[in-house]
Order: sequence, then C-alpha cells, then structure tokens
Amino acid sequence: MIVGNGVAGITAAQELRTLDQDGKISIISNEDGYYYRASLSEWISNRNTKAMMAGRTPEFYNQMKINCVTGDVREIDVEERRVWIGKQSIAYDKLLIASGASANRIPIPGLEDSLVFRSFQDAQDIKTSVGCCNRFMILGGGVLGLELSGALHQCGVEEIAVVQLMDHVGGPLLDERAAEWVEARMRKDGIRIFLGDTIERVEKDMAWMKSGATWKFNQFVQAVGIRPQFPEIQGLETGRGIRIDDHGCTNLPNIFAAGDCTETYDPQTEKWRTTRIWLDGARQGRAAAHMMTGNVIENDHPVFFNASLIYTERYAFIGDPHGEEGEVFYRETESALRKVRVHNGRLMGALLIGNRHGMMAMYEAVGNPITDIGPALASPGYAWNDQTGADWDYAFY
Amino acid sequence: MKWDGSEFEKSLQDLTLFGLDNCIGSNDCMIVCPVNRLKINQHELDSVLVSGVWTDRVETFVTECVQCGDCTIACPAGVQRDHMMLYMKSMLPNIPRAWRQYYLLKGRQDQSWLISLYDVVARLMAGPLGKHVDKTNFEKKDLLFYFGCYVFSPSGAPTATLTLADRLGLDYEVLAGVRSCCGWPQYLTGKMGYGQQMLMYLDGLINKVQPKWIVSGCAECYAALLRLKKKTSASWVPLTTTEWLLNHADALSWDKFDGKVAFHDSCHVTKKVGKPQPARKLLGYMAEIAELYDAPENCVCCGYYNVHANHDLNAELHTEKLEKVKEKDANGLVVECVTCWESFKKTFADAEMPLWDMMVAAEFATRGGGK
Repeated sequence: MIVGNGVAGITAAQELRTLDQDGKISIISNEDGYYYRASLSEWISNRNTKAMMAGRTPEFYNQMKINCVTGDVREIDVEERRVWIGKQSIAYDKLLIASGASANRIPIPGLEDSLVFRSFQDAQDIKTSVGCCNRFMILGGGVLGLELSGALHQCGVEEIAVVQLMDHVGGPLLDERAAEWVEARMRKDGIRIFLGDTIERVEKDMAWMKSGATWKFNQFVQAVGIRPQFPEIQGLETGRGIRIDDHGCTNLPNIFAAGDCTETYDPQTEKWRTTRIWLDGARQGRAAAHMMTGNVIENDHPVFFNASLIYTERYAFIGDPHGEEGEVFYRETESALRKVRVHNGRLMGALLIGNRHGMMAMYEAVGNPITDIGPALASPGYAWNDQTGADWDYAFY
Repeated sequence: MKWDGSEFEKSLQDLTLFGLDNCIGSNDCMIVCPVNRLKINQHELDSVLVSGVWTDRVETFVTECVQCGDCTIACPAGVQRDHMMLYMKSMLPNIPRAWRQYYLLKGRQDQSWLISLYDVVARLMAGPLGKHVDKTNFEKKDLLFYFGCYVFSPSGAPTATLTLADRLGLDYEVLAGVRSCCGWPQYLTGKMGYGQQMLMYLDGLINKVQPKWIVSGCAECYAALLRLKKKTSASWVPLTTTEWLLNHADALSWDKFDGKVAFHDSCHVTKKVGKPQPARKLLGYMAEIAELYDAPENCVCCGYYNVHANHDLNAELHTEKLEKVKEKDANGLVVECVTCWESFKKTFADAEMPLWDMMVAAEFATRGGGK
C-alpha cells in the first residue's frame, strides 16, 4: 500500500512491481494520477499542454497491475494494519507513506487570500489569473519563486516583483556571485527584486515592505517553501517530516516513508533535514520498495545532484560547490556562469548555470582525484569524462 | 586488461535509471526532437521503459530516432534522453528491415559467398581507390587516412582528400572498406557488442600502421576514433579531414567561390565534440559563409542515423535544409561529414542545388585555376 502518487510513490510502485510480479500494489491519492509537479511552470508558460503533464500513460497502471484509489487518508490503524479512506478501510501488509508536502503560507496583515505554487490546482489558478492580471507580486526569491517569475515573464506578464528575505536570490542554491548573475538577468527583463526585505502589510492592492518600499499588484503568489504533510500515526517518530533511515524505514515496523514528507539525518551537520529534491524522492521510493520486499540496497551514489530552471536559465547543482575549503574557479560570461570547487586535489562540487556542458561527467567525478587544477576546470570544454573513465558524458567519448 | 566495451552497456543502464528518476516531465526533449512526427510525449517513452510493454507508436519512434542529441541539450533536469533512446534501441522487440540491410556487409570478417562477391565488386566500384579496399598489408606511416565504408561514397570525398594530400606532398597510408567499419552505426542503433567487435578489429588494423595522426571525413568514424583512443590510451591523434587540412591551409593557394555558401554542422562534430569553428575557418579560405542558424549548435540533423528507417521523414528534414539554404541566398551547401552528404544528396540533386563535401570544395578551390 502506497499513500501518495508523486515521484516517490510512483517510483516505489514501479520498483515493487519489478521485484514482485504477483503482489498486490495500491496507490491512494487525492489527485488524479501521477503528474510532473516540477514542470508546472512549463505549463503556466504554455510550453507544455495539460496532456504532457501526465507522468505515465493511462494504460501504464493496468500494465503494471497498480490499483489506484482516489481519496484522502483519514486514519491509519497500525495495530490492525488498515488505512481508512472516509468510511472505507483497506488492509495492508506493508505501508509506504509518500504523501508529499504542502505549500507554506505566511500570514500577512491585510492580505485575505493569496495564491501558492505547489499543486496542479495551484498552477491552474495562477494560469487562469495570468489572463486577467498584469502585475504579479511573488513573495519568496528561492528557486521556486524564481522559476515562477521566469514562467510569468515568458507568458507575457508585464510587471513582476520578487520579494526575498535573504540578501540575495536563489537561497542556498546560489552563492553571492551566482545570485548577482541571476539578478542581473532578471533585472534586464524588467523584474523588480526586493532583497533583504519582507512584506509587513497589504492595503488593498498595495504591498508595504519592511524597508518602507511599496509595490502595487493585482495578483499575489506566495512561494515561501513547503512543509511535509502526512497522516497522523500513533507512535511514528516525526520532526518536521517523518523520520526515516537511508532505506526508507521509519521507527514503526511495516511502515516506510519516502519523498517530501520525510526527513533524514545528516551526519555531517548532525541535524535532521527535510527531503526537497525530486531525484532524492525517487531514490528514497526505490530504496523503500526494496526494504518492503525484504531486500536492502545501498545508496551507492550519495552525491547531491539537482538540475532544473532558475528564473529562465537551466542550472545544475552538483555535490557541494559552496563549501568553504579548497580552491574555487569561476567562469562567467553574459550567457553562462560556471563555478567549480576542488579541495585536496579532488572535485567537491560545481554550480553550472546557462552552459552545463559536461555536467554528468562532473557528477561522476565528484570525490575523484583530478589533474590540471586551475581555471580551465570551469571551462565548458574541460574533458571531465577523462577524470572518471565512465561514459556519463553527453557524447560518451 | 583488454577493453571489452561492457562498461558502456552498464553506463547506458545507469543513465536510463538516472533519467527515469530525474525526469521532471518538461517534455522539452520531445518538443525539440527533429523527428517527432508522431508527437510522442516523454511519458510514453518512460512508461514503456518501466513496464517493458511496447506500443507501436513508441517502437516506431525509437527506430526513427537519429541520435542527434538535441533532446539532451534541451533537458532542464540533466536527463540524457539520447542515451535512454539508445538503451531503448538495444531493447527493441523488432529490428527494422532497413537496419538489417544496412548491417549486411559492414564489419563482416567471414568468407561467405556474399563477402567474396563484395571483394570483387567493391574494388571495381572504388576505381583508383580499389587498391586500398580491405587490404591486409599496410606500411608504417605517420599519417593514416581512414575512409572505412565511405571509400565508396559518390561524394568524391576520398579521392579529393588524397589529391589534396598529394598536392601537399605528404606521405600517407589508407585504411578503407567495409571490413574496417568503425562500428558506430551499430552503436547508434543499439547494437553495442557488434559495434565493439568492429571497433576492436579496426584497432588491430591501425596498429599495423602505427600512425601519429588518423584523419577521417566521416563524423561517426571520427567519433569512433575518439572513443577508441580514450579507451585504449592510444598515442595517435584523431582529426577530421577539416582539422587536418586546416593545419596545411596556408601551404595551398586558394581561390574563392562566387557568392555565399552555407555550411551544415554535423551533430557529432559540432554539438557533441563541440568543434564548430575549424570548418568555418577552413571554409573561410574559399567562400563567404551564410550561417543557417543563429548558433552552430542549433543546427538540425541530417537524419542519417535512423539508418533509413523512414525515408519520408528524412526527406522532410532534407527539404527543410534545402529551403533554409535558399532562404539564406546561398549558392550551395558544404558539409564536413560524408554521411551528411549521403543523406542530403537526393534532395539537393533533385533541386539542382550544389552540395559539396568540404574536401571536394577545398580540392576545387586549390586547383589554381581561378574562380
């Protein structure tokens, strides 16, 4: 039994079917089918159609013998091993909770209601309002807020303002130099950016910032992060999310969890941290599926990898490019910014924006000893494949 | 340890799994695909990859994929869709007839009646170059021209290349014929083991010559040489014919063509290896260049590497290219890859639009007879 049909849930279901041809697999969700949440901005900007947003074909679920149940999970009875949906209950042997996360909302005096950017319905609401609103204010200048501002710009919204509490956009994804590069791109497109600021109150259609600045809007969207959502289960160890180990196990027997509803322990920082990355969600779903069938798989590639859009630019965040130790090399042009960090003769991480040439080979190379340490490392032409012996480079030669 | 190529198949599996996990469904891969006439959505591909249940649409699309790599460039999430397509090709339930025909002779080392017949006919077909076709005795030379299968090309590229080398007074050896096929067509249609076998046979032939430089006018052969060099840590340097001639360009006397000519970037050389400039520099010696696209890497593939799975589809690509050449008011199109030339030849011949291989154009421009 899987609760949630996001990337963690669907990956777990797929893996379960691969591991067990005959077992009964059910997915419970209050949304229709698996869709690509991470590409909602592409739908808003009309690059994608609604049909393209579906994650799998309708036939897929039958082919994989996956039973889809629509509804909200009301209660989970651990003793009886039953999931309650309304007045009905379904028995399970093993349960995976992959119920995702919901968008945060910050209460702002004077602002009765605002849109958020998380679900298909949220995107639908934003898309609908694009037709009638031409001044969008986005609270939150992290990756999500920037992606949304890019999508709105691309579909012709005339005035866009982004308010960011930190003193640079992009949150932990960008260092100051990279943030400045992205901010310059945004300003060139006419995006107004309020840095180190927040909204104190709203009067009618006017936002009053803490700094005293004002901005007039006719649509307001909050993009201020997400919080894990999951059904309450007695005895389940939770922090901000359900606490799991590397294999998706919770503290309760026969109950597993994966994806945005979870948090994992980071031995380096000695802190629990929530799962936010698409790829991590998929991997956790796969690992949990193996545990549910009695197998244990090691996470053999723990290197962090995230690639998507920041504003309108493609980026790749590989390993740990912003650590304090070692040497850092930048290469900056009008169309691209590349940062590479090495320490003790090994590649530690890279941030690539605009030009991501060699990114998969770099992903493979993180932690490997490398030669020719110098500014050339940040060049798109650097032969990263030669540093790994693997075939992960784009051209595979 | 001898390189057996098995790591590549493992890489393909890993990349496919990574792609399935990391795909965020932007569908950008399918939007930019030049051969997506069926309007396939990416989720159709992934559904097949996961379930193993093929649909006719997906099967057709996979056979029509030209391995240009545009999908991988477009993906915001870093998914290497071209590798996933290659993996799907290796899993195809049915191999297209056109592919089987294409493989019929390439790389065969046996002594069947078919290959014996080929030995007789091929040498006749190759004319003066016949002496080089699948020969077994080689001299040790620093410079090796590797023509492989394209020794039979009606483009005139092999003859022009050797004429230029003679004009420059160079000493060289030639490796040509279907037995020395580089194996890249097999790689690009998902036949990894087959491709590997051919590449290793080629390695044995190269070792007989012990060259410093190996020159090829086919982008796929060039790609295969790059791979072979990397995997075997060979000391020789692979060059495109363009790179090779550019090194000698100042030793020749050049005449310029009237008007502008357009240049077609090959996917392998320009997009994958990232070398769009040598061709432009060399072409600059003989003509004014009409750029077809706003950036070289935005060029559209010639379509050859669905290996004739759909002639009509490829004809559409060729017609688009022809129209682009006309739109730019160019007097003809120059290519640096013989495979691209083969792909475009019919459409351009029918339209009476000149189509030159770079070596043919260069040989003509250095005859010393004026414009």
